[in-house]
Amino acid sequence: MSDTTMHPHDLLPLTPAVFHILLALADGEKHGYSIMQEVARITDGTIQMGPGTLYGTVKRMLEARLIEETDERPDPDMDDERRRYYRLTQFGERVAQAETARLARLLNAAKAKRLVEGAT
Amino acid sequence: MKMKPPQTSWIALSARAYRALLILYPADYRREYGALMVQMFRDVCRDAYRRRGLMGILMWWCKTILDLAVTVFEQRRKVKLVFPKSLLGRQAGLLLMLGGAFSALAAISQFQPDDHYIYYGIYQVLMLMFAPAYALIGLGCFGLAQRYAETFSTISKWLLYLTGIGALVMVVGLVATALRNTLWNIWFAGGIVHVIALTLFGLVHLRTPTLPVFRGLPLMMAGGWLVLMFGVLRTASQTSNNLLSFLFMFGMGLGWLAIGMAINRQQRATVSDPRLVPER
Repeated sequence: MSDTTMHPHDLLPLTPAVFHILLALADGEKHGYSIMQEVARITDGTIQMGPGTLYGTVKRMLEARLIEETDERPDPDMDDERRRYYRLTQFGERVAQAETARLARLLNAAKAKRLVEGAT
Repeated sequence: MKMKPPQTSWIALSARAYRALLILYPADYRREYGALMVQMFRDVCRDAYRRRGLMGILMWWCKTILDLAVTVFEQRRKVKLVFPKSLLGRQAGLLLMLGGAFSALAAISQFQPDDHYIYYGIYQVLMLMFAPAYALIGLGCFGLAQRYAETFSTISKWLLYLTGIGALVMVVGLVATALRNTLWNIWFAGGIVHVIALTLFGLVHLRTPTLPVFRGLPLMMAGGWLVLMFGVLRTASQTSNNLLSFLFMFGMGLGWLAIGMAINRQQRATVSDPRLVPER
């Protein structure tokens, strides 16, 4: 799978783990533990990824060219050099946008059917 | 003497235990991500201990065990799918192993005491086992051609397809002969195609070995077939003819079995060494 041969829609719908990691990386590169913390933060602590799930998903996402490793370190002095940092590729960003649009359409449909609490 | 704070021991012990559990993952995955997973596990342990003490670590362990159970299964399942892509290509080793084993078993039919133009009783049952044997071997040959499509020369690939087609025609012939004895020609025609293609493949393989077995093995197997099919094997007594016939057929079955086993072994080695896994 690569960004030259695949269209973002070919990968939809994404698994929750993949989408959570894409979201976590949307605002910059992170290492495994900080991805896990960010996922916990954006899901109000309801999802805590284990190391197996996180790195299994990272491996798949690297193969699909959704993310890539980066040598840049936000704060090299404070950091453990054994950590690996990941960031979104352009293709990963397009896939995240396509999935977000898909979910937004679903949310609108759910709102129209009065399935969303507090929606008018 | 300086004592370690208790949380350090719990965290270190947990990390060691988790590192030991990583043995459950496939070797290539462990090599690539094992250290990172242990580091992340340790980070979370430290956090959990700071927030909830020992109970925090225990709760993290509960989540981790669940995570481990699910993801070990996922990674192990994926390993089988890494190489190669087609179903026949993936299962070539298994098909040839089963085909070889059936063929070796069917070779016992050669112990029928009198001549072998008509088989009867248990010998007929054993002889008919060549049908599933050669169906599996035929499909296995197709699988080999697909599996090594990028490393085989075009001629090797097509010779293997031809070997497989010959084997499948033999299966039709065997079943047809069981229904009507005069139809043995179909079996013979299939055998001719099979043996000639295998001989030519064996010659090419002798020059440029590709399969993970002794380079002369395919040619030796084809040689055994030639001896049997063209009746070169004639000794003083029926008993010694039967014994030699059995040994040749049994040997050919073992040959396919050996190729199948070698391919399976190579597949395991391939997936445990990431350098050998082709890029997808």
